[in-house]
Parts: sequence; C-alpha cells; structure tokens
Amino acid sequence: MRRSLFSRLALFGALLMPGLPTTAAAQQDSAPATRSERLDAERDAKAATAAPPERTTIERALTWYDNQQVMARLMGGWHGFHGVGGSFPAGAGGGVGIGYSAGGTRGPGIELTAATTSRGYKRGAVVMDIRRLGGAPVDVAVRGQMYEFPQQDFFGLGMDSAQGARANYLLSNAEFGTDVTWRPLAGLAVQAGAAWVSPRTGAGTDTRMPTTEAGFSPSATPGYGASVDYLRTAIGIDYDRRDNPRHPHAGGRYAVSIADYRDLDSAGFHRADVDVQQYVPIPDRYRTLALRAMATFTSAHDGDDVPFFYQPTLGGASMLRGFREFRYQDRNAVGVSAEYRWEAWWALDGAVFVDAGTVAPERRSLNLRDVAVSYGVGLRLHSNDAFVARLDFAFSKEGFIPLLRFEHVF
Amino acid sequence: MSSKAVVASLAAVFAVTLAAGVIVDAQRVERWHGEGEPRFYTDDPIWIDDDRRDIPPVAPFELSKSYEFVNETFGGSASSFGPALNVNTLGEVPDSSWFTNRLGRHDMTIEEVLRGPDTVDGPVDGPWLVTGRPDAGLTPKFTIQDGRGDTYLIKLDPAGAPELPSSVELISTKIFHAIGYQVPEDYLVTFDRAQLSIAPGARMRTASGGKRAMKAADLDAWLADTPRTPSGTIRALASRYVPGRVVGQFRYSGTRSDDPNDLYPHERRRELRGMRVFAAWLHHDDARSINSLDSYVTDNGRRYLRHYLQDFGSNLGSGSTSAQQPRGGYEYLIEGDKIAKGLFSFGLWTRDWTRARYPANASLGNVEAAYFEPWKWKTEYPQPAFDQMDAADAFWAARIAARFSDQMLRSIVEIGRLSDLEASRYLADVLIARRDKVVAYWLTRTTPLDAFAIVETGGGTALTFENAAVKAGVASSRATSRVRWTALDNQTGRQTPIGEETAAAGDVALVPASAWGPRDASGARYAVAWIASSHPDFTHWARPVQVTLRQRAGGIDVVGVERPTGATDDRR
Repeated sequence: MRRSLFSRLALFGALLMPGLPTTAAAQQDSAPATRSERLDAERDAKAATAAPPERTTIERALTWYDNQQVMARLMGGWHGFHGVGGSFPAGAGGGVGIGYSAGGTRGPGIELTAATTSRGYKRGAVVMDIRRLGGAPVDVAVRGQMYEFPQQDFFGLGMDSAQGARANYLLSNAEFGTDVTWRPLAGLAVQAGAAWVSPRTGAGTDTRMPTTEAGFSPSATPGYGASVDYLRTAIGIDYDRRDNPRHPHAGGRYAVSIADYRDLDSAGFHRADVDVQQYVPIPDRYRTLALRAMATFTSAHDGDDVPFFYQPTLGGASMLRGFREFRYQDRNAVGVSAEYRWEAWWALDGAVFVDAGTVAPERRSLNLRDVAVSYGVGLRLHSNDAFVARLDFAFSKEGFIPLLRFEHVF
Repeated sequence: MSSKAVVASLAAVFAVTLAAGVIVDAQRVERWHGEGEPRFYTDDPIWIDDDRRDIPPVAPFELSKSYEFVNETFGGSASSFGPALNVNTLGEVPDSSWFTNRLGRHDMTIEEVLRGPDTVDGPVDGPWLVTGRPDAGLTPKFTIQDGRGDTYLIKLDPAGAPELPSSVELISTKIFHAIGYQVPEDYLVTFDRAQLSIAPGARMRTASGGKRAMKAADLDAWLADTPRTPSGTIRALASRYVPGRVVGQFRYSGTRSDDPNDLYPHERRRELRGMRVFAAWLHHDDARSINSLDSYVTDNGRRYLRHYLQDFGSNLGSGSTSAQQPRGGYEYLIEGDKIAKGLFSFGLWTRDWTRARYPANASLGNVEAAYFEPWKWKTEYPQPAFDQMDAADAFWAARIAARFSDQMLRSIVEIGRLSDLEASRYLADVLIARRDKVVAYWLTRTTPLDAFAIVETGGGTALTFENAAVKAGVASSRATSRVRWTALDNQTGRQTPIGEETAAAGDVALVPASAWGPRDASGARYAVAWIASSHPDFTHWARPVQVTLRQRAGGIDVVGVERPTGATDDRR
C-alpha cells in the first residue's frame, strides 16, 4: 500500500513521541483497518527517513579509544617497548623511562630498561632470564645494571642525627651478576646468587643543602669517596603464603637473606635481612590488619667498616613514612608497621597506619627508648585483584609528608 | 527534616501514588488507540509483530563499551519513559526479530529445551583451522573453521576456574533460548592441540594493540595454562557464528535509525525490560549492549536485522576470567554514595552483600541462592531497559520463569558437564532456588490474575481465570476476587459502568448480557471486566486487572488484558 509523503511524515512524527497514539492526521487518507496494517504504515514511514546511526562527540572519542586499544597500548607497550618507572628512591623527582621486553613467558626472555628523572637520576638495566629451566622449578637470571643517583640524602648515623643536618651525595654503581631461584613448593623460593658490584660516591648536586663531604667528617661517612669493588654472594629463602601477592588480604610472607660483600683484599662486610609480613582478615577480606616487621643487620669483617651507603635506612615510602627518605641509618635497623585497611569501594581501600623503627651501630644497642614513630592515613587504588597505586599522608614529629607511590608499602 | 518527617512524607507520596496509579491504570487504555482509531483492531491480539520485512543492507555500526559505561553511569540513555509498547492487547510479547514465544506460550519437552538453538552437533571433529582472535571480551578465545566450513568462536576456560565459564555459558544459552531470545548455538567441545593449525593469513591483535600474523607459538601460549581433562584434551565452549552478516550490537534504549523495522524504543520493549528478571535469576550482570549482536540475515527471501543476546560467560558464579566478583549483581561499578560511606566509615559500615557465602569450588565460582534477593539485584552499571521494568513486565517474565520445571533445570545443568557431580547438584539446586525467589517476588508485585478464558455455563457465558501466584504456590489461597463490568464503545473508547461490583466465586464471573457495548465498524461488541483481588499479604492486588471480551460472529474471545504496572522495586 503506497502512502503520501505527508502521511509518512505524520506517522514518523508519531514515532518520535513514543507512547502517544498515532495521529489522526496520519490516518486521514487511509486509516489502517488492522493492527498489522498500522504497524506496516509506521515502518513504511520510518523507511522513508532511515539513515545510518550517528555518534555524539563523546561517543566518537570513546569509540576511537576502544578501537585503538589505547589502554592496552599504554599498559602493554608497542612491539615490546613499554614505559618504566626506573625504581628510583623517593625524592628522585619526576621520572620517565622506556623498556623493551621479548620472550620470557615460558622460555628465555630479555628485558632492557633505561630511565631518568628531573633531578638527574639515571638507571639502565638488562635482565636475561630462563624460567623453569629444563622443565624443573628453577629460574636462572643474569643481570647487569648501572645507575647514578646524584642527590641521595644523608642525615648522619644513628637516632641522634638531626633533621637540619641534611646533606646530599652522589651514589653510582655498576653491577653484573647471576642468580638462581629454586621453587620446590608452592610459595617457597630459595635463591642464591653472585654479583660483581662497583659502587662509587661523590659530591651531591642538590644545591639546597651541603654535600655530604662538606657536612660530615670522614669518620661519620665510612666508605665515602672510596673506590672499592665487591664480590657479593647471597642466599635467601622466601616463603610466601599470601592469598594474593598482588593485593593481599590474608596469609603471610616470611623472608630471610644473607649477603657477603667481599673486596679484593678479603675485607668487606655481611648483611642479613629479615622481613616478616602477616595479613589478618577482620573477619573477612573487606577489612585487613596488615603487619610487618623488618630487621637488617650488618657487620664488617675485621679491620673494615660497612660503607654508609650500604647501611640500612629508615624513613621514606616503605618504613617510617612520616620521615624523609634515608632519615635514619646505621649498621643495624629494626622497623615495624601496622596498617588497617578497609575496602571503601571495589577499587579503593582506605588505610590508617603507624610505623615505628630504630637504628643503632651495634645489634645490642637497639632499644625501645630510641624509637621514631610516624602515622597517617592513605588510599590504595587497585583493580579486582591487583594493587595499582597508593597515596599516603604521613605524619611524624618532623612534619607531614604526602607520598604517591606505585608499589605497595607491603 | 527529621527522619520521622521524611518517612511521613514518603508515606504520603506513596499513598498518593498508589491512589493515582488506579486512575492512571484506568487511563492507560488510551495507549491502544488514538483519536478516531478503534481501541481494538480486528486482528488483535496479534501474535506476530512483522518486523522481519525486507530492508536494504545495513552498514556495520559497532558500539563502544566505554561509551556505554560512561553514558549509563553518569547520564543515562533512555529518552522514552512509560509502560512497554511492543506488547499485544493481551500484554504478551508477539514473535518478532527479537523474541520468539517458546516455553512461555508452548509446552516444550526437556529434549527441545536442551537442543535449544542448535542446528548441528557442533564443530566437526578433525582438523580445525585457527582463523583469528577477536578483540572484544575478556575470555581467552580464538576462532576456528571446521571441516564443514563453519566458523566457531572457541572460548577457553581460565586456569583458575576450570569448567566454569564454559558451563555457565552453555546453561544460560539454553535457558535464554527456551525463554524466547535469539542466542548463538553453543557447544561444549574437547579438542587436542594437534587438531589445530593456523589458517593462512590469520591475524591477531597483540597485547600492545597492534596487529600481526598469528603464529603457532601464540596458540601454544594461549593453551599453556588452559585446564586439561584427565585424558589431556582441552575443554572449551564452541560458539557457532550466527547466520547473516553482523552489523554491530543493539542498544538497550532508543531505536536503530537505519532499521525501518525497529519501531519501539528498546527501553519500551517488554522482552528487554522483563529480561531483568531472567538476568537476576541467572546472575547475568553483564547484560549490556556490547554483549548483543545485530545480524543482517536473509530468511525466506527477506533480509532484515535479527537481534541476538550473546556472551553469557559472566553468568552465575563466573566472572569470565575468574569467579564472579562478590559485588557483582549487588552494586554498580560506581555508586558515589556507597563509595563515600565506605571510605569515611573506616570499615565500620559494610555492604550487606559481603555476608553472602559461596562454595569453595573453582568450577562453581561465586554463586548462591540463600542471600540472593531479586529486588536488590543489579547489572554492572545502569541498564536503561532494566531500569524501566515495571510490575507488568516482571509478571510476564516471572510467569515464563515459573514454566521451567525442576527436572528441566537439572537436565540443563547436566549438559554443562561439570566433572564434580556434587558441584553439578549444587548448581542445579541454586538455579531452582533462585528461580523460586524471582517467581515468588515478581509474580506477586502486580495483581496476578491470569489464564482468562470464556466458558459456557448453565447460567450463561462466564469469564474464568486463575491466580498465577496462588497456582505457583507463592501465595496462600486466601485470595478472593471481585468483578465490575463496563460496556466499551470500541470506536470512542468510552466505557459505561454496568451494575455493581460482585464477588467472583471460584474465579468465575458471569458475563452480564448488558455488559456489551455498541457494535463497532466490524460488527463486534466489547465488554470489560475489572477484576480486583483481595489478599491479606498483598494489598496492592486490589488494583484491578482489565479484561476485555469481544463478541463477534465467531463467538466470544478475550481480546485485552491490562494489569497494573505498579512499583517494582519498592523494597530496594
């Protein structure tokens, strides 16, 4: 049945006002006798004006975003190239870096990275690894890296060091080594490795404060300016029983490692690290009490001292967050953290935390009288199952420090 | 304003709304006819909406999943509001390119339900050519061509959830098909790596977004972590490509401007609004445009768009690549008030759904029935058709859900072939319990009188009916009904009250001889019964269902049923 243009337009107009009856005008020339005829007429009217769908500006933009796989490109990189952060210490400034990865999912893989920051920090690294060597639960990696950190803070040794004594120095290093990781049981990793390391120190470039050389005596900065290369051998064991290492809510992680740094004169030092983490659901995954205790002990071989830049530090993004990075350091350090996390949203946790720690030149000198404490609140952004970023607002007797980091505190 | 004042205000608003609802319902009769149009046409009620008329080729138009999320979360795409428009005068959904009445209108054997949309027996065993890998979706997948030349999408189960996505997708496909939706043919398959070879020219998108030729090593990598059966083969879901040429997806709002057959705004289509009931039942929180298909098909010489639901891999306990998130089905991805409450309560406030307990079984994921409450259930983000579901839409859907027998559901779960029989039993129990909950809730939100029929009795012609809620066992039999009659002038829509309201003993109401209105142009006469029900547990059943009878040469038939749309989520 053919219809006039007027009739078609009128019927289409009725379509634009859903729920309203078909207009009487539309029926003037030939009122439908049946429901089917009426629907046919409405479809005839629409056919006369049918046109491809159009997108709004926002829809066009988001369609492009989807089709170009923008997020995948950002996260996955391009032909193996991807962005990297460089793993610089807090205070290094804004960073930018590039990495290249190839292979590695099951067979041999290689990763090259290079990064720098606005304050002149630089790092270049290469890692070649073989996962599950010969089908056994053994991974082998060969690593090399060079870095230069020109504005490392130093406040002096011990808990008596003063905030106002802040100085800075340059720390550079070149190292090359290999390590083997054996995973005999789920969650259990035993690691052993050896590396040649060549640390160097010098005057810092941060003009806002004196250099370490100017601010401290040589006796307060053992190893400063020395040109000593070390052979580092290390062994460690790591038992990881966390429910989800990328975003834990229950379980624990218990790690111990011992390293020996030996120079060509058979002098050097030992370093032992203990890190214990426990996650307690209260009573479920939506509220978690995260606990951590860490300790680092160093001891020099006879007639030698532990270079100050190899001594453990407290303060910064992962322990004593209310203090500046490297605020306290000495040959031995102990720290504890307690963090209460609650799920505010599926992608966001709130956190309140308290950190406490102390350093001392001798293990027996560690005591509860000289403990620094910091506390604060924070937000943890995450996906359904992986941590993404955290923003902490940390307080201490030395002030307030905001921290934005892309790795979990623990 | 104090809390008491708020409650009082809300109560007042509710009371006024309830009162107005009766009036509005009475006025809704106008929906069926415009000025000068008859209220009922001679071919009413239609059971086929002929939207399969031949149309010119349609260009592909892919929807953006990001836009859909942003638009529905922060704005909302619906532009048409009100009751469903695509129903016939009985309130039923006619067959169309969207929906085919199956179990809801016809008896189906269990074998027919299990057969579902299948036209073959799955991909032919033997060598399969891997032809590509789709970009969309989360599930690891690739496409193959079998020896017959048919193309299938092979969806792999993730390492941490063996048998989970494949079983729930197959189960959901069978159920949605039996309900009446168009769905792809899905098959559970097992295959060996040796069966697969890369087709010449096969390309794939890399993790970094670029495209390159597919290599055997890619296939090895995808299959490396895929769970193996005890015999070492790989179990997967093979989803046969739908017939025709896919030209995008359909939205759950508006119409497609290049499809002349697409008349009704999708948010006003009963089968899309009522789908919320089925989605809640099957925990299909991924019911969104991106998981639909529009295919330009040729059928009996006519070319038109057929509309499919697809991708049920995130149903029941599955979240496609892992178990369903506990939030799924209970909270939108973004709900500002809950985020604020969650953050500033320091964990003292917890969401109700965190109390749900799930089986510790990787092949079941997070599915349960004990905590499930139909009225609280939600999709991942607001869905315009679901948001407009009213009590009449929900009643339509619940009545279909009630048609699935326990045995039918157990048989459907069995073809999911979970190797843990205890898990299979649990899943069937959960499906049955969730069905019972959606039926019990949504069947009672409106006046559930149904199955209207004309019988001749010793006293004359009578209208019989039954209470669907009582029949389904979700309401006690303490319901009583009362009827009043009006004579309808079909041409003007005017109704004239006849007599007083009377009790309908035994759900039978004699049709008064005086109830018939004047003859219309076709010679037919009409009478309307306003039937209200009284039940101590469901006071809103006092809102009457309008049942229109038509008397014409062929006798008397029921031509119209309009039930109160009511408020669907008064308990949300």
